[in-house]
Amino acid sequence: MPGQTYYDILELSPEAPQHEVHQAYLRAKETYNPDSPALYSMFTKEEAYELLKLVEEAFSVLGDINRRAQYDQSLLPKANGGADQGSAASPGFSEGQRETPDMLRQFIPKAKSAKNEPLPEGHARTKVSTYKVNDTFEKQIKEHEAFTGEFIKSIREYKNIEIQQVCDEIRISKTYLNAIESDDYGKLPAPVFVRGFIVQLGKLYGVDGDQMAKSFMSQMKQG
Amino acid sequence: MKDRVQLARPYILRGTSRPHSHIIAVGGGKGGVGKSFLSSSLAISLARQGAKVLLCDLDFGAANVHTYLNEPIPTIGISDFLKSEDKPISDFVVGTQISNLFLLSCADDKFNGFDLDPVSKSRIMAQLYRLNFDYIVLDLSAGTHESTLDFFLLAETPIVALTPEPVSIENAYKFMKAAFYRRLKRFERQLELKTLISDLMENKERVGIKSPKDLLDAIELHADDNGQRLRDLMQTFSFHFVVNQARTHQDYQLGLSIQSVARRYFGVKSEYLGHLEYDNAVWQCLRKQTHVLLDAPQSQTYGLLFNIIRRLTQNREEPAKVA
Repeated sequence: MPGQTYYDILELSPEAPQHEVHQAYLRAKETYNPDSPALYSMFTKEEAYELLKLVEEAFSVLGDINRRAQYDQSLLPKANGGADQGSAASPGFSEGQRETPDMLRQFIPKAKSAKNEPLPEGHARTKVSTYKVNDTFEKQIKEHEAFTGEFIKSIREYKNIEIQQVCDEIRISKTYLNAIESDDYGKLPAPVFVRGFIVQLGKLYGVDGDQMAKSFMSQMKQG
Repeated sequence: MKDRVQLARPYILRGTSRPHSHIIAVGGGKGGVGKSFLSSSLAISLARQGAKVLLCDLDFGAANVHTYLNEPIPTIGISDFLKSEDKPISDFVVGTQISNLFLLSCADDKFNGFDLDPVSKSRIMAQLYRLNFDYIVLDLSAGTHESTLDFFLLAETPIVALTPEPVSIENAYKFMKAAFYRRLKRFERQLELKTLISDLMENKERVGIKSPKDLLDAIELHADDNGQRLRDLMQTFSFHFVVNQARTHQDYQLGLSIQSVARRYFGVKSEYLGHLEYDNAVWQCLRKQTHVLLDAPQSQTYGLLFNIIRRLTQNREEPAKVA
């Protein structure tokens, strides 16, 4: 469910008064309960269950005035530079709305948000990791033209991102990611998907995804 | 950018022409859910409020809207229009006993089911676009035949009628899916997304596409600008629902649930216009061949219809009338 806020999930306007939040919650529970006749032939029981979980999650925040206020704050466009300095450190935020799932994540009960912790000296952040800034390598990335799988892999390692994190974040399978990183073109799906993956990788790694995709695709064509 | 603003209208442009009237279509997959009753009721209500209304019976092969209005079988209609070479369709519209309400029928034995060829279909559509009424209400046939879908998609307010039974819900969804993909198809060539879409559909398991909304998301991911444009174009369309023959509170709630499920599944707007309750007065009037709105203005149905009409007319951004 990318790009959804808790308000979207409960089909509410952000200005909705508190009693409407409760009504919307009850209605959503009615709609996505396993016996709901409205689901038939549209969503499976499993999908409905996932949706119900989202509904519960949304209500656990919006149903509580304090947590809701806090959440509303997080939806405001980020104005302060703060810890998120430099474009490489926060690849997604220029995209505004589309990055909401991250914001959602920090509100999931008990999940500890890394974003609130101070950064050690000389470190920067991606969406999922912290890494030590290496100016030489940053420069190398900027000036690099031929993005081979091997080089893409070294960017990931430099940014201190685990393979699993990439898979979770951009919903790519491990096999495909490994195939990209080892330039194993035979194992990759149709080019159009590969392009999409690379662009997403670029966003996650904080590098120019289009440039990276262009370069990788042309090599894939030749190989 | 200019294009985008122009396209962000709820109705479909045919070339550069816009409809001169607010077109409402009533469809919904299953037979017997009250499509003709609903469309005739809407037409009567709107006409009584002073609007000039054309009720257009497009239920080819089973046209009977005139009976709901207690009118004789019209002597002229769509089939005569199609046979005529150069007469406008307005020549084949007949008046009714209700002032402001006009009827265009296809109740003609010569018409055989669905053999409406594309040229005829397109002629009818173009002519409907040019008619000057406040409202044109299209009563569609059951099923998901292409021409039914096309007339449904022609409307600024396409209404899916259903009853609370699972079979009816299933058919309503089937109908909506068919309509959604029919509309998508119209744009895929125009936006050069044909290959991408068939690629995605062939690999839908692998890419995780389970619903039309996932498809739109995936298209946007893989084809930036045109993907976004496609979403905009699809977003100008919205499903409307009316639940007919509701007997319990749950039946009424069902409309809200369907609205929510449709939004999530299709990723386009959808709106529940209201419900009609199971009403003995309707049944009695149908037996007597009168319309409940004409014969039993005190009935429950009368009030509920009024709610639907209010929703329907209220949410329009601006009238579609072109000077």
